[in-house]
Amino acid sequence: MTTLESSAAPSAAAMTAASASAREGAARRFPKFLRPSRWAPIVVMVVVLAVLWQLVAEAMPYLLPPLDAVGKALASNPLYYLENAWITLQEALIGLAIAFVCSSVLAVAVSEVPVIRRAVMPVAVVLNVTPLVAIAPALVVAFGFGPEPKLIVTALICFFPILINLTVGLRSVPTPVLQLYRTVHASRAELLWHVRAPSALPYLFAALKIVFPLSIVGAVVAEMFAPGAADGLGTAISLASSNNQLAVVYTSIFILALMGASLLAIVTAVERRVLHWHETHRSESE
Amino acid sequence: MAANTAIRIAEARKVYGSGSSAMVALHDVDLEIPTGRFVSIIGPSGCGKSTLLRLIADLETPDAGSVEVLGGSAADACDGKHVGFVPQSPALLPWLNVLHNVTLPHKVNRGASRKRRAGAADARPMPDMEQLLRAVGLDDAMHKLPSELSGGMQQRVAIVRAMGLQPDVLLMDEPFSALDEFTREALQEQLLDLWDDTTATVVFVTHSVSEAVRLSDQVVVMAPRPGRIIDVIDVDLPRPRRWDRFTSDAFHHYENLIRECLQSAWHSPDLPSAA
Ligand SMILES: Nc1ncnc2c1ncn2[C@@H]1O[C@H](COP(=O)(O)OP(=O)(O)OP(=O)(O)O)[C@@H](O)[C@H]1O
Ligand SMILES: [Mg+2]
Repeated sequence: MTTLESSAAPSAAAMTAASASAREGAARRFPKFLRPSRWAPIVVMVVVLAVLWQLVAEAMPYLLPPLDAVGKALASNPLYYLENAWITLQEALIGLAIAFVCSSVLAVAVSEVPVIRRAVMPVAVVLNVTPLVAIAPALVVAFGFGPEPKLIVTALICFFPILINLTVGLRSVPTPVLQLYRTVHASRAELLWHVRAPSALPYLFAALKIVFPLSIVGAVVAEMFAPGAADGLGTAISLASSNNQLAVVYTSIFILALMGASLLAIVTAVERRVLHWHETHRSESE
Repeated sequence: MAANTAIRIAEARKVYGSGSSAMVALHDVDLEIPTGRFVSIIGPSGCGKSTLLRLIADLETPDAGSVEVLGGSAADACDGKHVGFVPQSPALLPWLNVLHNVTLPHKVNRGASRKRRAGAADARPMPDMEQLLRAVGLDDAMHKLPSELSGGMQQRVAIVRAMGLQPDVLLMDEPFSALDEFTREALQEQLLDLWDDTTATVVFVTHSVSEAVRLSDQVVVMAPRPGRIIDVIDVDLPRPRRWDRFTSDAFHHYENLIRECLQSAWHSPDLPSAA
């Protein structure tokens, strides 16, 4: 291999062999994510997007602010964004926690009791595809400018994806497994704890990957309908857009995107650890 | 009388569906299995072998007739953890390693385990599961996940899981049907070795005539439409049964007997399914 690499053999076959062995060498020297084949595509993509952005911003300044303006807005008052981001994050996570507890309890009831399942699931499926953020203005009217409408909207839109996934997951146990534990008369609680709940974990994580970013959407939309009286990045966006501060709007949006992506990354990392046994994580070749 | 009859099935009948789509899975099935016997059930697909096994395992209740296990109801036998079950697929939990998979049945329905160990009549210490796993050659696999095992190894885990309960009745539904011939023969031998150390009554569903003769004291032959027992053949071959015996004339005699029986069932006119 090394001889092939050093002696510049002229044949095409030798060339490919040499480059292949060079690639293997690189693979051994660097951890996976440091390999150019890993990071180069996304870096190129980001650069292309940034250039396009600048072109659009120069041609249509009323549509997009230049990127340097966004940077300046952030640098001039970082604490403002940090405080508002923290408030939005809190609303999102508390709303999500409420949704998680309620939907878990209901999912167990639905998966254990057929009558409840037949009553609840059709409604849940319809509500899951209903854009529930649309009730945000009505909730603001009902509950005022406090945190309540934000928590309710967030909890509502996170509730149904978790409920539906968990219910399917709790019922995903193969028949032979259920039969086996029935022949030793395992109680329903034992079956739930030892068999059904772990079987539902992959489904739960699929739901969490949807609802963590979604919780931020819920909180922001609710904030937008109650501007002025409360804080949060949603409020910041609606204030800034009514004052024509395009840079502030987009700075806030960038931060929201970053928050959503970070939450998703955290969920994915936790999933990788918890579901190491699951087939989707068994072969990490790519 | 119950002392030496482990399983007694009388005029058991099972119908799936109703009206015109009714399917008679079992039609007036009578079967008595003495304690400690190894009994195979053989028959073409759809003749109700699994259904019969599910009746004994209390996974279904008969529409008519009775099923008695260990002198009581099937439910009582299961409640006391006297019944071991090996399904056709290994049914291992993918998030538990092999050792945890085989010990989980001990952790559920603990009342039954305690009662059994306290009861004077059949007081036995809980078996050493690690030793049992070693006995079937799973030393290295003990802490592996099921997905890291071959199909044959997974099926061995399933057998150890059932054996670990020290069941009085062991029910097996085509446990080896998905395995290649070599693995199958190795596992048959291991199963017989494990069984030799117990007093368990085994009911073993199979599609293979030679497997039935090789393993069993008794072969129950079933026929479909409606599912029924057409013959019970005693296999009078000495134990332990080593592979060199399987070329003997006596072995072939029993194989032919069962094949003839299955053939005649296939060609006999269907019984009227309405009774
Ligand atoms: N849960 C069920 N619902 C409806 N019909 C069933 C059910 N289980 C079995 N049957 C029917 O009962 C009949 C007997 O089924 P069973 O599974 O006992 O057959 P089998 O002898 O085990 O077949 P195989 O060798 O293919 O496993 C089949 O015709 C099947 O279609
Ligand atoms: Mg079957």
